[in-house]
Amino acid sequence: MAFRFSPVFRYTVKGKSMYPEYRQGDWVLVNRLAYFFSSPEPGDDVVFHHPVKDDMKLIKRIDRVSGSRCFVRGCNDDFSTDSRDFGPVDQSDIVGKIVYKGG
Amino acid sequence: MNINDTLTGLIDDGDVHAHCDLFCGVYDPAQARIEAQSVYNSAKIYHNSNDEVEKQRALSIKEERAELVKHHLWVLWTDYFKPKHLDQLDEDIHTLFWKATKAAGEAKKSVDLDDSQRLLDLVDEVGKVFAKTKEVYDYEAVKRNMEHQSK
Repeated sequence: MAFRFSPVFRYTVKGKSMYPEYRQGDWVLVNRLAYFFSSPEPGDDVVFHHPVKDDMKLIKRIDRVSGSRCFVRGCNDDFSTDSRDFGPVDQSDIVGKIVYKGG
Repeated sequence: MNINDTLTGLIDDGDVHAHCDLFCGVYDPAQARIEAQSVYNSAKIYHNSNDEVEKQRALSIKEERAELVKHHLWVLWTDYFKPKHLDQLDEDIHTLFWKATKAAGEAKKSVDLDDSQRLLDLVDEVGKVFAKTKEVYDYEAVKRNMEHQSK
């Protein structure tokens, strides 16, 4: 588990709803301070807390923003569970913005 | 430990899920129907057997399979059915799945064949609703095949 004050977290991608942009096994660096001084924008790829499962974090792309609510979608609509299912994600549930992808 | 390991330890926060329960896109109420039939058959074996060991095995398998029915129903409910289906269908999907899941719970703890039959009937209702969302899907064929295997 990462040092909780670190401004950057690294995650390994599981699942394929973000294929082909993110493949299973890719790793991503997440800037946790990205939205301290700016707001999420459509097109941003983010990591956020699952709306129901406390111990799970999800990776999705922001589709649109309404106030503090972000509607997220996968890159692979047919196989993605996202805001179409669980509704918008509050900005406070976003861990951060993906700033780098490695594989 | 080298500096790379130390850095990794500082920033590594585990996995992030590009969440999709079934990437393959394969969903089928036949899975729930097979397990529900197994629940029914196990309850019947329990009643027809005079062998205590067999009776206990029947109970154990019935409970295990009833849990699997719940699992397969939940996958359909939470992953397959999308808001667009709720708009398309006349049936109240949420109530149907709630009743079917409750019936699986009842059949798990009961040896009353009526409870197992009620579970089968509700899974069949789910299957029929599912078939309405898939053009070429034939749930009646699934049901027929299972009925042939009813003990």
